[in-house]
Amino acid sequence: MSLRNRTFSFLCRFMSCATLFLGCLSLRAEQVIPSEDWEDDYNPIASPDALVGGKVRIYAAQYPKSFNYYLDTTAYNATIYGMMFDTLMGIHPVDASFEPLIAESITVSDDKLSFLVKIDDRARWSDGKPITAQDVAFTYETIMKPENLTGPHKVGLQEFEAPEVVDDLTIRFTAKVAHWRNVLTIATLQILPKHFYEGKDFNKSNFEFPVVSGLYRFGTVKEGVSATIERRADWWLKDAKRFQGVGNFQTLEFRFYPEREMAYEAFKKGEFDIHAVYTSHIWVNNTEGEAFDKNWIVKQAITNHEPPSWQGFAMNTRRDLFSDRRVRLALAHLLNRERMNNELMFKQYTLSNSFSSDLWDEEHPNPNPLYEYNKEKARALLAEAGWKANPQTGKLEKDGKQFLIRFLTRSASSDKFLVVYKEDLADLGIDLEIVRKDWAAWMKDMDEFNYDMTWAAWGASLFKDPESMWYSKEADRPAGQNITGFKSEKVDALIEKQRSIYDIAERNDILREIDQLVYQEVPYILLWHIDYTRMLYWNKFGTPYTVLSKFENERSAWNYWWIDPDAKADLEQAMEEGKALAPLPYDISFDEEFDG
Amino acid sequence: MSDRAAYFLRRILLIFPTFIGITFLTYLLTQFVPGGPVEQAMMQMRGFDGSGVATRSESISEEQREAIRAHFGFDKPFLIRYYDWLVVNKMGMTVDSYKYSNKTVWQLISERFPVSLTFGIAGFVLTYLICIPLGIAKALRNGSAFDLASSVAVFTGYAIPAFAFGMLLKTVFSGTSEHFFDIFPIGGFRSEFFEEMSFWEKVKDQFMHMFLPVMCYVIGNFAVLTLLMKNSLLEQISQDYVRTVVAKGGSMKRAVWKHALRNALIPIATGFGGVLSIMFAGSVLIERVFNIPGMGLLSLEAIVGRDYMVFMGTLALTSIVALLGRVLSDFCYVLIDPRISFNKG
Repeated sequence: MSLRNRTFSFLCRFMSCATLFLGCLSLRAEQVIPSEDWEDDYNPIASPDALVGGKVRIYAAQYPKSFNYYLDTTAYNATIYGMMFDTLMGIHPVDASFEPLIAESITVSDDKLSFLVKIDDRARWSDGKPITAQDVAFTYETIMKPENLTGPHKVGLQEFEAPEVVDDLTIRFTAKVAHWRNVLTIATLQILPKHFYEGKDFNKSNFEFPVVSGLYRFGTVKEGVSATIERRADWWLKDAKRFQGVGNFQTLEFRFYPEREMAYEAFKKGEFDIHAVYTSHIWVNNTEGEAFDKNWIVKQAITNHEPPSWQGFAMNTRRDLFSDRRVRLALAHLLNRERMNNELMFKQYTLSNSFSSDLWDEEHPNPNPLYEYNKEKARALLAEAGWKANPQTGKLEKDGKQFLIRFLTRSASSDKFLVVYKEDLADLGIDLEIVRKDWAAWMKDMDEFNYDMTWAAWGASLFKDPESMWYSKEADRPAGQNITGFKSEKVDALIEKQRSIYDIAERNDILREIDQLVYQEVPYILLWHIDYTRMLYWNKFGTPYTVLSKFENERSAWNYWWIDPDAKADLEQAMEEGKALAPLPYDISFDEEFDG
Repeated sequence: MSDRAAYFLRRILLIFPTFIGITFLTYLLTQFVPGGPVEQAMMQMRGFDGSGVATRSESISEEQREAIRAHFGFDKPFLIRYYDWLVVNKMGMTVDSYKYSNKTVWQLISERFPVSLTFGIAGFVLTYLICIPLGIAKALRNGSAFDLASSVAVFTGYAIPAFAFGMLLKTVFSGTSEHFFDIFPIGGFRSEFFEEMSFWEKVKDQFMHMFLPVMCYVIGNFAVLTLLMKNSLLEQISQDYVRTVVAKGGSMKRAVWKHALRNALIPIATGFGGVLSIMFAGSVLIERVFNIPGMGLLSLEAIVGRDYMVFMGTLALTSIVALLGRVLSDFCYVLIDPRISFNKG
């Protein structure tokens, strides 16, 4: 070999080694989800005793305008559609980490901007066709098409460029900005079959889903009355360990009632099997009678780790009236939540002292003080803020202006609480005027920041993103979620910091800091929350020891319960003979029952 | 052409401008009421459904906003939209409902109409069947214990709102409360498996589903119609011609049944035109209490959900029926009372 050739050969080997080395470096910087040591294992919540088969009848609120979750984002649709259309990745029921589903992995680049999705080559549609990268790209296109009414689903996906199909089983998403939320958006994308939807008007795909990817297929619909989904025997993942004991019912029949009260009557008459109660007076006063006394209907309060929704009186801090923290704090001290809970809500609720109470536990005790009802404290705070009573009228005034709060409400059911508040405010010389509008007019006023105070309720998510509600940049944008106009440099810095953190535990540390900082500023007068699910069900089911899963409410029953033939026979016999069944425990705590 | 024929022709022709006036104004109003389909779609997009689902909203692009507006036809000028609604889309009947997005307004209405019609006819017939004899009996026994007792019963029924009466009936007779009766279903128009039933089972099922709601329909109408009948008959009995019949040796019975009753029925008959509206509009509250998928519930859902096309569709049809009903009332009046003349002099 000549020197020239040897040199060339050396250079080639050097280049190859360097490339390999750099490649190794970049590989090490990449994050693969799930991690390489992940392996399929049994679901720790699912019962090994679960039997497949039978039918369960479930209450499912109003008849939806569509069963297509992309077009109608009701909570029930989320679950029903979710049982028919798998996401790219699943979420572990206990530690909330990602698990393979349609995709076997997502590789995140070191700059956290590129996401390479590798689809499992075994993944199949219900008609036997393979699920491919083209289906994933088509799903993106369908959601993002401006004419498609795919609602909130556009919001997460518009953080990405149009994805690039690498090969039949690989697709790359590229995000515009690095954020932990991006991987969640991709992982939880429910994939649509291109070969079925292509060329069709997606806005019309409401009641027919002949090609699905999940464990259940769409069954029959009786308009306005009921709809069913049926368990598939040919789901490609049916033998995976993690899906044993899950999705046990052969048929799920969803029964639609326009109002909860009406549904409850139907439940008691046996028109459906499982019902969660969301009204205190029903739970306390209206769960009696033969079926309850004889344990034909089981009544259980189940405490788990479902993120509780929260509510409060939002104050428009853009207005002078609420710009002073002392005034907001005083108003918090004037709200007699304890009385309301005792007298109006049968002591069923926990008074809130956090915007995310599920973030706090024994390991991280909640340091936020509970703003107790204290008129003297409120009086002192208001005086400190410059509000003085007019000796002639007794009304509080500052700079010649009277203290008047216009409370914008859209529900007559809030009146009984507001009347109590109004009385206490009046004692200190503050007027509360209730302005009631319907939801549309309420929404319009909210969008235009045209309110003093209002009652706002917010759902909570396992993956919490504080940006939309507490980021300063959101405060002045109309029609956003930072309705109080909250601004804080410290909170902004923390929001920016958590964006690039993928580890949920690490993010939660920051979220706890944010929670404390925001709570101190009192943008909302927090009200109360409930941290358990109130379940009623006809006594014919087998359930896991925890009854419900760790992070979900009554809807986890659809997935984890099964018809127990012995219990069913016992129930039928007991009802026929008018006999009582053995009682089941009333209080169930996930932490106590779970032996993971 | 007789004066009566000319009068009815005029009345019928007047229906058209009145109809245009009603629908034009209502269509105009719907443009100003907040919460229309575009706003609803935007709201859903922001994940702000009232319960507050935490999705972000900063990036709803102008293009998306415009696409939604165009999807619902809000990109066109108002007059063109009204023309489209009235003429091109045949009073909006061919347009898809916003809420039931797979159905046209006409499909929805034609599904719901027979339900309301069934309840309307049953309620109407029952009301007249009970109230007319009762009113006559009360007039003939004016001031008696029977008259007093029946007045108390009738006024009690009148005083109770129909929906409250419905709730009461449901509590007592539909097995939802302990210690009461479980006789009737809690609601709905028919059983779920109606189609699989035999003829007599169907009849029974329909009867069981209709009994309580029809009772509610009827109870509120009792007082007005019964007392109208009674007072009308009493007034006729006190007329000279009744005295003349009696004076000539005819019995009171003959005077009442042969002469007074016919005249007493005139004010009752004029209400016949209104029945068209009742049948078509349904009763919102009763349909809500008993979860009956009728026109009343459809209209209510359309108003609450800002489903303007359905709302306009039901409004258009009820307007036509109400306008025709008024002409029909006049026609009944003329038919019964030959003395009526439309000559201006």
